[in-house]
Amino acid sequence: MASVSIRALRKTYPGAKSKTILKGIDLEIADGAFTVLVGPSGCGKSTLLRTIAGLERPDSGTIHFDARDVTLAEPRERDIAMVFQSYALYPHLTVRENLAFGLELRRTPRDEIARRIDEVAPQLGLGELLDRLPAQLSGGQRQRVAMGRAIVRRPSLFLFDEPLSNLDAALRGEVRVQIRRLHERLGATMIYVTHDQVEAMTLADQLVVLNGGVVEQAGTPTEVYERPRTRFVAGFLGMPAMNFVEARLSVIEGKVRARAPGIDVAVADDRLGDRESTFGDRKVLVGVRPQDVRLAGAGAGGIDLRVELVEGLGFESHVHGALGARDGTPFVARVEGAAAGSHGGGQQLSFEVDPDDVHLFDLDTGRATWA
Amino acid sequence: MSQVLDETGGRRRPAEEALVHVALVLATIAALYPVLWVVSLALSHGESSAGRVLPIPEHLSLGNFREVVGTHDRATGTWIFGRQLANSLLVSLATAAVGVAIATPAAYALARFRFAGRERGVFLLMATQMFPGVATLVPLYLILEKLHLLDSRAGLVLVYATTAVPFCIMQLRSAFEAIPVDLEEAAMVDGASRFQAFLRVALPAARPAIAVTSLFAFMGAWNEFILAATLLSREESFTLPVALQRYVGEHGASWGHFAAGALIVSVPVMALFYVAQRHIVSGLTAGGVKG
Amino acid sequence: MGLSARRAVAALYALAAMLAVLVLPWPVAADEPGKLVVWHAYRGAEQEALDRLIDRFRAAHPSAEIRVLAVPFDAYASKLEAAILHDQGPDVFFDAHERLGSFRDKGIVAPIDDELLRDRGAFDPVSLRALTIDGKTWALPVARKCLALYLRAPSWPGDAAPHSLDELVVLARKTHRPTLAYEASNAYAHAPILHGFGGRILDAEGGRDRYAFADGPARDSLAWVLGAMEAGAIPEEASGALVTQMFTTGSGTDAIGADAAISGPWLAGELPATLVYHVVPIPPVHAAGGTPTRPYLTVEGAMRAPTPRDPALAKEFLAFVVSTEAAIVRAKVGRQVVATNAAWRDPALRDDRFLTGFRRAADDAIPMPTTPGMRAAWEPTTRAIQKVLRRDLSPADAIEEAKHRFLDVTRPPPPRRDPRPMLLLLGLLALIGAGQLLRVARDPEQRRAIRASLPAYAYVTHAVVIVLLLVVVPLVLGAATSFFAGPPQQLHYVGLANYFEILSARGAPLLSSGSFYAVLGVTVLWTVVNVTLHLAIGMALALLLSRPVLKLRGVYRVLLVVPWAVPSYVSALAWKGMFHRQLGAVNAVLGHLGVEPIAWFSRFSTAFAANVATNVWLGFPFMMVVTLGALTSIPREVLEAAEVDGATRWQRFSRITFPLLRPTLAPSVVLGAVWTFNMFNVVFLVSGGEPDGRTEILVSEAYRWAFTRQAQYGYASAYAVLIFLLLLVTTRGLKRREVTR
Ligand SMILES: Nc1ncnc2c1ncn2[C@@H]1O[C@H](COP(=O)(O)OP(=O)(O)O)[C@@H](O)[C@H]1O
Ligand SMILES: [Mg+2]
Repeated sequence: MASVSIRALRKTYPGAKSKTILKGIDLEIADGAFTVLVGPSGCGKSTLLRTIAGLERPDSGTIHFDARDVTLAEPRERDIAMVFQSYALYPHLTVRENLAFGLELRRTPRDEIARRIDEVAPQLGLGELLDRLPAQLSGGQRQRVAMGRAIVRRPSLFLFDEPLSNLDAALRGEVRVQIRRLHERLGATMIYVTHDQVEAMTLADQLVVLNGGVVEQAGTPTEVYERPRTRFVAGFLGMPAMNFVEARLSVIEGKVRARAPGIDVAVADDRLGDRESTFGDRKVLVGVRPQDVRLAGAGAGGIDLRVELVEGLGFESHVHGALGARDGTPFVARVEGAAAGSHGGGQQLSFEVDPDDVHLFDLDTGRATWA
Repeated sequence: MSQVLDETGGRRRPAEEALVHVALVLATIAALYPVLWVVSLALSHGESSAGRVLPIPEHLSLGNFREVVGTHDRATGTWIFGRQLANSLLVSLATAAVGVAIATPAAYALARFRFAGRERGVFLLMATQMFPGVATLVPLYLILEKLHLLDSRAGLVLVYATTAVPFCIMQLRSAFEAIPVDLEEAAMVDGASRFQAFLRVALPAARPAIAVTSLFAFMGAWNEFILAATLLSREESFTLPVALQRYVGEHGASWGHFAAGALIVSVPVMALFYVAQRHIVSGLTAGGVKG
Repeated sequence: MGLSARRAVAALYALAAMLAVLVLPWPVAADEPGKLVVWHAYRGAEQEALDRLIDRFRAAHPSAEIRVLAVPFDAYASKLEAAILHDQGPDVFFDAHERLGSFRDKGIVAPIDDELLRDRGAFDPVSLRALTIDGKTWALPVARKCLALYLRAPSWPGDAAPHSLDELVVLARKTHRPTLAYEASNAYAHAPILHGFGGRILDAEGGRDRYAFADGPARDSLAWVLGAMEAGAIPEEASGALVTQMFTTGSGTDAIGADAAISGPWLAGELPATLVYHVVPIPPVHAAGGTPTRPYLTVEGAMRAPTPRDPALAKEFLAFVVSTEAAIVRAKVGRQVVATNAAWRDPALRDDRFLTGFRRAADDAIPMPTTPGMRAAWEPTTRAIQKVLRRDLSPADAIEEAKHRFLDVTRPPPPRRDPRPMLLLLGLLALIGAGQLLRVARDPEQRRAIRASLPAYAYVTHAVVIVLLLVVVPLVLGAATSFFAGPPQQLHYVGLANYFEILSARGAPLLSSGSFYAVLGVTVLWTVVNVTLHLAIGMALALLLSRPVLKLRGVYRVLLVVPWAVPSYVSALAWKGMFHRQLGAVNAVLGHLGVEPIAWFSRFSTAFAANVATNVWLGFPFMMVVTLGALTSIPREVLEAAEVDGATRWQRFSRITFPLLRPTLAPSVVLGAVWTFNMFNVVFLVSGGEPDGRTEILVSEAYRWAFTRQAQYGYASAYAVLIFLLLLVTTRGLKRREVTR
């Protein structure tokens, strides 16, 4: 098992329009941790993972596995295993040969290879499939072979590049749980790339949000969800996404409030950082998650919503509308249960929110005001 | 070996990159050297190139080209080169047209229908192409003699068709197989007969493939030499390759004229070849045709 | 069938008809008074002279329509035969006396009118005799040709000439430079020296050909040439072009050159106008004693086809061509040693040292025998001389081998066989076939299948018919020819005798050079080496070109495909030129690297290597393009997975890339193998089978039997059938193996 330490990693693909994909990544991954790299498509997640694997060579910066500098090492010198998004099974080899391939290259004795395959195959339900070719397998089966190929190797570091994105929704949930169990059983260090926030939140010990080649925030999933450091992180995690409203801060009766047409809410002190004195009359971006608002009596809450559309999901409803007037800032609120039916278009609703759940971001930098 | 054989990239050392370029440049030089020799011979008029390493003529001259193109029959004054150019063009065009016209419906049937005798027919067709060409020369010669076609363009077209038709059938079959059958099925659901579906849907869709196939059939005839040299006897019925061969006779070969003529013959088809080449390989390997 | 469909079919037929009109043959000639067609194989000055004569003749016959055709020498005889038999040939043609016999046998030449020969004394008597067979004269003597000694000023000024060939050898020992350029290994050029030792190539006395290149004189002549070569007097591996080059260069410069050359009148046409030289008969080998070094004499005659378009006009033209006036033009302009005696009274001819030199040489020359044996004798004799000069064989062994070869080529065709067993067999097969058909026709299952196939047949019938006519019929005829033997005009059925002869190596040891098995061995080696190199080079380049990051990829790709785009006969001829021992670029490059020039076509290994180099050059782009295509179907991630799994580069190639390429490449490799197996152009044009026919492959060997060795069509066809069967069985086997893998 290994810890991974990445410093100031930069990567540019050579080519006509060479643009920098990784712009100085710093990352610490603890031994045995399950780290998820999440971010929108094209942000450089795969590039970072492939650089860790040794499939790409960085322009500058270092990668250490434990104390060993592996920045320039070949992939096969790194003791890693990787599960590709496309699975990358060897099409001309049977399942058994696919599993054995890496071990054979390492000159593992034959009986040891057989033993490991016999051990792994039933765990993944591959017992019947060992003599088939990849072309004769379903998508889910192929995915399990790809996993098995990594597991039999017993590497000190597992790398996953969106391994579930080609599965249907039900299967995805199932395998997600299996992967988490696998981590618990093996205790190996795992790095997992996904653009799916559900996978990210459920799997991660450490969640790393990437955007445009930089790490926006790293931390436990709760931490990142509850205290997003940037507007981007705040907007990226959470379903439906966080509402953002431009507002003005003012100090009223010793309390800081954020105010804009249709909204007037109190802000908790710890959201303000230590530059409190400067907040008087400052414009900021207010962020409120749909999940964090509660219905209040008419005019009683700080948020006045003119309803345009209600989406009912049965166990909850999403209320879409505009703040204050008809053409006010769009806003979404979540309401418990199937209460949707009673709210029609054009109706005015009032919501309240805890000061602790009001996020503030700098208008220009997008950083949280406390950060 | 493992130094050069690298399929993944983007993280390789510059030294290795340089090595790859060295290897490729060497291969390119080897590929071009003989061609450059021909070019240099063509451009040097009346000089000997003996013992030279670099294919660069000492004095550039277009004399060889002028003389080759300007070949006239001394007695009658006809422009022999023009005549031979016309022969080559007519024979090659006719070969391509005959080949494609005969092959297209047959290739379509092979691609779309299962029918009794299909496998055996294809096998027979392929097998005939393994019979060495020089060996069919004797019977062909005798047959053409009987038909009084020995020294004619028509006779040559018939002979070329013996390779062009099987070639076109195999090429076009794989082209039709590559066209999704849905298109024709949609047409037939819309009320077209099978033949109309072939004519209106499959044929237009196969147009690029047909163009490429006829191009290759054309080039095959244009570049053919042994058969033409054996079957033609009059200077005015020669195709260009046969005329060229005459420049490299027994004594004091006129390599300059040969080279100039070779360039005139090759350059246009080389250009065509580049247009057609990337489309041809799949059909070639699916079929199996003699060269 | 809808209206539009019918219209389209009509258009197709219209197109076909148009094409047919476009390529229609030229109209056939018939009896046409006032018309004259003349054929010749002259080039350069001789052609010029003939053209002047034609102009004069035209001026004298303004109403006549006269056409002249220059036919390349290589194909002259066969074309004459074909054309005259179909009334498309010439009325008058020029050819050498050696061919008269076979022309007469085939009825394409008619005896000369007595009227034209009233004054036999007007012509050179030796020439006239050479053109007379069985008491009839078949051509009017036009000119005499033979070898003579060219001598260059200033080393040989004025009338200076060596007294013997030995003198030139001694001179070479002194000056360390070549002194005599000639094609030492060519039997025709060796003949004068052989004659000088009292030998003969062929004994044609008494109507039976006896191969006479044997015993003391042959050995002595070979030993003398070998000695002269070792002394540096004569060049190794000389070709006609090299002789021209050496004599043009002379001994005055750094390049190899010689001041004397043995050649025929044709050499003069290749020499620069400024060169000062004269011609004398070849001197004896040794200064004292010995027989004269008499070259072979060829008499060129004007011949007449049996049914000229306008007999009177043809006769008039013949008389004109050999008239004194015309002979003087031919001598002055065409540099011919004319056979019309009166012409030599012209002072300009008498004083011409070139013409008189050749005339003296011709007076001494031996008319070339006209029997079929002579034609068969050249190849064995030339090969024997080559082997001796390359020190492959001792003179005695080489002579022995030559004799075997001669007997082999001239052996009588196998005896006639009773064709009835074969006919019976064919009849039986036809019966079985018919029975089979009947059974199919009865079987309801099959009938249903055929009925279901009817729509498809509408599309294929015309193609089937045409393929049957164009491809299958010639093929079957070709295969059938393999059961026949004898001269082309009188083939007779011999059963499987041709096959027996081929497979038993005609009585020689099974692996002796030139036997079917030896040639098969070379062919297999040729195929394996070529395909392996095609694959290795094509694949290596494709792998390099498919690197994800590569500058100039497109440029490399386009340039590397060039060898595929060049017509193969052009590249083959270009490569042959590059492998020329003295003039070629390959030796020039090697010379710069300090390697001695290599006589590429004198040893099997180097000649084979030259062929392979040419063919590999021709063929690697195909494999490269195929591999490039196949590589795109291998996902990059699979290779990366292997890399992560710990594979080195070589392991990635050998365990992933190659196995994945395999199924895609297999058909191309089989195709490439078939191409290479039958790659006639390269072998024929580059090495031409040199040395000694040992680089010949099966196809080119078959071609030789058909077109250069006495037209043994049956034998050649048997070769072709064997090649076909070999390929068929092998490719089927390969395919089955590939499928079961
Ligand atoms: N081999 C390559 N060459 C050039 N650009 C690349 C290459 N691979 C990826 N990119 C670019 O780098 C950016 C990041 O890609 P990637 O790391 O695959 O993103 P993702 O976060 O979706 O996995 C994308 O804009 C992509 O187009
Ligand atoms: Mg990705």
